[in-house]
Amino acid sequence: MNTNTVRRPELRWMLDDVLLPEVRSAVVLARDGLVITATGDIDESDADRFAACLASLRGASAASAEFCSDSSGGEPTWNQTLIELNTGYVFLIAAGSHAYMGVSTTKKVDMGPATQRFHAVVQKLGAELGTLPRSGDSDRS
Amino acid sequence: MGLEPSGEVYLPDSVSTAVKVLVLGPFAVGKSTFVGTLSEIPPLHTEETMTRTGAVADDPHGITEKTTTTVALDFGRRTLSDRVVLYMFGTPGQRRFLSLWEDLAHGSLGALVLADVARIEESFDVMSVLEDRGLPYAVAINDFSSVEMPPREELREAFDLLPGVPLVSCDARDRQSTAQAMISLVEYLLTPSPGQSQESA
Repeated sequence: MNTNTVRRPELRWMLDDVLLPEVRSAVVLARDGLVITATGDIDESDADRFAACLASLRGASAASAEFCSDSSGGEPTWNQTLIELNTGYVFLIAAGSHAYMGVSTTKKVDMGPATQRFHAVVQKLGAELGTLPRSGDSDRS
Repeated sequence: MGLEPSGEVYLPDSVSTAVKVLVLGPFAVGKSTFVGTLSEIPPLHTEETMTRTGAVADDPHGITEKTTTTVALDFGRRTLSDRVVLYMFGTPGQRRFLSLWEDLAHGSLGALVLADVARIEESFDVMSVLEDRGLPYAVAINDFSSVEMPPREELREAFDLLPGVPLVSCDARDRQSTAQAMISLVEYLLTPSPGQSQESA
């Protein structure tokens, strides 16, 4: 039977590193849009919803690559998506080839150190997750 | 338990299996309504007001009260039993969004194709993409139009369904009815070797 494991709570300590001042919450999701782990001010249901939303965002982001080709001839690849709202920012960053990390912050977040930290965290997460697609998660790409 | 939602937003510790399914179907067939009815958590909707520009491309077939349309995603969660939690991803039905839902299809076990008996042929796009991907599906006719339902065998023929592929009708606004439709899909998905030697009873 093809089933998925819902969560890997043991990875949460790694994700906790993103909880700088003005960071609301963070979610790590698999490519299929299901939560791997979450931290910060967010409950389980909202983490599920945030992850679904981020999966859709990542799909749209990757699809928009088609309209951003340059003369090098290489396929554009998606690295991250940033959303700015009047109330803050949402970051969506690749964490290895099978997972993504979404972070919600307030508007007062210090962008420089924050993005640096986020990218350091996805490096670690990617090393942990990149070689470990979730069981039953067939890789179609 | 069984069909009733758990009544809690937190998943019980016993939950061990996440089943991801897609809810697909043509424009204005009731996908958002379906996911919203069945979800035990506040569903995620990404609806936008329909514009006049879209009037040519998206014809709501006289469904005059339809003023919004999903542009990215519907999401809902439903605990089906102590051990199975269903994650529903509904995506826009219009062909121009196909590249998006192919991405969301990743990791899903199958799909529920919502259909309108008055415009069966509009479900074929979605069904053929699912077949190309080898993703099993069930067809649920959203019984909201006033059109009389043809006999079952005629319907199976009209949809050109393989033997074993579930065909059910439901009311997307009714919790019990949507749960039944989803259960018929999940049973089909979780039955060993779906699609093979499984006769519709």
